[in-house]
Amino acid sequence: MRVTATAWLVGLGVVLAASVADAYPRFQLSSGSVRCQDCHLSPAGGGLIDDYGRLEASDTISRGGDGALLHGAWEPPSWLALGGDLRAATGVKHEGDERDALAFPMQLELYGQAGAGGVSLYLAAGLRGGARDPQPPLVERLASREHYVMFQRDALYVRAGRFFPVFGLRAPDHTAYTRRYLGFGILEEPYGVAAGWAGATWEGHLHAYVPRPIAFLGAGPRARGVAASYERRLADDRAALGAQARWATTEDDRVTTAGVVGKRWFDRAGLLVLGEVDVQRQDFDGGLPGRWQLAVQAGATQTVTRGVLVGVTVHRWHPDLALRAARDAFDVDVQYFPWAHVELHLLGRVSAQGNNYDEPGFLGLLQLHYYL
Amino acid sequence: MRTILLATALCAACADADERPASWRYVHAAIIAPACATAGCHSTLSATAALDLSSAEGAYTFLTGRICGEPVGPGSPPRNYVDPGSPAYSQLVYQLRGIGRRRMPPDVPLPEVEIALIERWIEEGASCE
Repeated sequence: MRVTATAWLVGLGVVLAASVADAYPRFQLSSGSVRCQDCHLSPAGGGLIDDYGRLEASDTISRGGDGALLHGAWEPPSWLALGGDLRAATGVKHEGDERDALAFPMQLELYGQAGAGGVSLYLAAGLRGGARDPQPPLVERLASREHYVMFQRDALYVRAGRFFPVFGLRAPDHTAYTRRYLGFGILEEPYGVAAGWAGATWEGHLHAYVPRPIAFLGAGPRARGVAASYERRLADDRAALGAQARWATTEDDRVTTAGVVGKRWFDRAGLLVLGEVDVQRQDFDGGLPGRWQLAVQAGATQTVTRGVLVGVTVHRWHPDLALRAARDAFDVDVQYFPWAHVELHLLGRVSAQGNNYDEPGFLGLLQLHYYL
Repeated sequence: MRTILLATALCAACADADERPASWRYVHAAIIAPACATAGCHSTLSATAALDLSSAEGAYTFLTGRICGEPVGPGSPPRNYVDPGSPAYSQLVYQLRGIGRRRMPPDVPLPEVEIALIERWIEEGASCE
């Protein structure tokens, strides 16, 4: 009995945070919500969803069920919001001569927000990990991607703590090139202060950040900098155009990024088209030559029927525009929401490196996602 | 759209010749850190295979067995990752190309031009400058 219990605990423990749960930008405009915070408690989306988001999850996005916490079995007091995400994946990967079968835990993360009078404390904590063995001991996998204090009044918010800037599309796929290569990978969240304002048809965000104080808290470059974004909705909330910029510096380099985001919802066709283009200048210290970089993501998602979405996405990352080093990927994915709280996500990705399309890599991934 | 057209025009002028410096500072900052020191791999956090490649100094010592600025001692680098002057005897090159061992990085392989620069750095002595 003890062995069985331990095995369950270990099994649960290896469901790790190799992925993160951001907002699903494909639901903006297409589901009646116009900004991330319509459904999420965080201004950047992701993590905890609010009462409206839970209703949407059951009434609009999935094929039915009760989207409330624990399927409505227990309602927390009004000052407290709780939630969580659990993901696991299986699939195949071909790269050159290598053929791999994949089966790995992606995410086990719990969220909580407590507050009153416009002031709240938010915490996202879980187990980090990855797709490869050996895995570190369980206690070393504990991690908190986000924790912050937020003040909110009407359309204004100010928050301080650990979180990503509001920047770009903020897709849930952390391997999207606009995320992975622009400093929005797993556990790259900096510490900082941010403020934002949401007008009737627009929203703007400003974020100043410093490196995490302890290297062990995350990955990626330990940068300090500022980021800003602005988005305006057009065409009676059927389109949105945005722009974002960031400046950051580390011990080794200085990076300046500027980009645009566009979204267009075609009501009759049930089609959402969205894209992001970012140009980045990286200058190295010590007189080393700098480089221009480019990250692109563009795609379309069709709502086939309630609870079923089919999408295509192209990605391009150019680490140095002066070289033949581009990385391209083409995705086809199907999302199925059979009930509130449950998502099945099938992804197929073909990718090529350095303009060599003769031997493309292939990734097929089936992801099971459950949220509390 | 204008940005895409500009980028496409820029790419039309992409050069095969790589004039980037084959120095460790550049190789680490431009290639190793963004491609290898990710959260689930060779970051301080995970240090998969006991390799933390997040800092230039630490990564140099892990890969070459040398300490930057210190005299070169006798013996081979650990696990023969980098044999200064000899890309053909450096395991790192075989891992990056996926020859005889698992390709690294496992999710997104490096483009040829990046591997070639690392080979050039090794061939020129793999100094830490």
